[in-house]
Amino acid sequence: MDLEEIIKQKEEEIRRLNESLADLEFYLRDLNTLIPIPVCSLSPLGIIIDVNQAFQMISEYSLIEAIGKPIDALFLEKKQIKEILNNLVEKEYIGDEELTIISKSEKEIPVSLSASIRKEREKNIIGYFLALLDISERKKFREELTKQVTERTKELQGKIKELEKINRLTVGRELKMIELKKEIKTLKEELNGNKKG
Amino acid sequence: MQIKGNSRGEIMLTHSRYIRYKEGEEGLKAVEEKMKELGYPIRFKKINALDWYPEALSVLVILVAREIFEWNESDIFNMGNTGPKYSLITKMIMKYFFSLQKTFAECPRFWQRHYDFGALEPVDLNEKEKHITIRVKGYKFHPIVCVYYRGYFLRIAQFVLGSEKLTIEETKCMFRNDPYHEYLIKWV
Repeated sequence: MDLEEIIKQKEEEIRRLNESLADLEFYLRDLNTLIPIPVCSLSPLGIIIDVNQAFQMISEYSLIEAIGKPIDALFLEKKQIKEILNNLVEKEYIGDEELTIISKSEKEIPVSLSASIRKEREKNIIGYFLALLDISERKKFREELTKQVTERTKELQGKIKELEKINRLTVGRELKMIELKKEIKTLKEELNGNKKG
Repeated sequence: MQIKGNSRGEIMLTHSRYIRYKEGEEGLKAVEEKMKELGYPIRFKKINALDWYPEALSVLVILVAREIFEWNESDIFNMGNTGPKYSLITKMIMKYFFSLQKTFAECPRFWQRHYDFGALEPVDLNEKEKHITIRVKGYKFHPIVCVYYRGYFLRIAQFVLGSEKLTIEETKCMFRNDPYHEYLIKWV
């Protein structure tokens, strides 16, 4: 095989690789748009370097606005999010942490956060992945449930008090009856004693 | 297109994303129309991120956008500053940005992933006095790119240092008869 042929072959190989990379890029972009879960990737310093469509929706920040922001700027619990990232160094994955996202219009949205660490081949930390789940409905449901349980508990406590009162009355009446029966018995005995005497 | 040298399609795509963000889809169409009028027709949707295109074309896109939308220096700076946010290549090589030293050392490779000519040289990293110096060699298309690069390099530094309190200055410029472009980045 002469040099020209080798170059041609290599060029063809590069062309094919470029095509595959372009296909992969399209695939990733499509997937990024499709996934309904807000996902973002962070640099090792906690700077946002990429967000998907769903993340843009929940945060109300466009791609250009979100990228470059420190992640704690988007959360109400700034200290907690920093702690989560620090803990990831050891744990590598953290799931279902309840936090609050502050959207661009300053809406507070409760989310469940899952995070994992990104490492390159030589095990250097190259960033983090975060995935969020909007738990507004779940939280609302839980709050509603807590409210209902509190109300029912209150109602039950009222009923218990009523029952206790009835119980006290019943017991009191029974005691009184026992006392009266005793009294009757004593009187009867006295009466019988008088008759005999 | 007299000046030789190619850059990845991703650079032109990055320009298109900024134009779309700032001027909308109509703005992007206006740039395409003007490019056609000038005899260099391009369709941004047909550009492949990893294919090579003449760098002169990429510079022309910036010049055309500046003319159509009457952008000032600050708009061009912002265009460069938002560039890394959109760039697929930057995201792919972000793995080298885990430390300042590593990023600094990777400068030449970073450049090579984008261009088939010129070079980006790390010159000085002084963490104690908090400044970095880098040089762009063999790149002389138009002074507008000097402004663009100020924004671009500053964003990379913002990614790595995580600080907004950064400044960048072009201390040497080939358009001022220096042998290269030199950028000094300082942080507090």
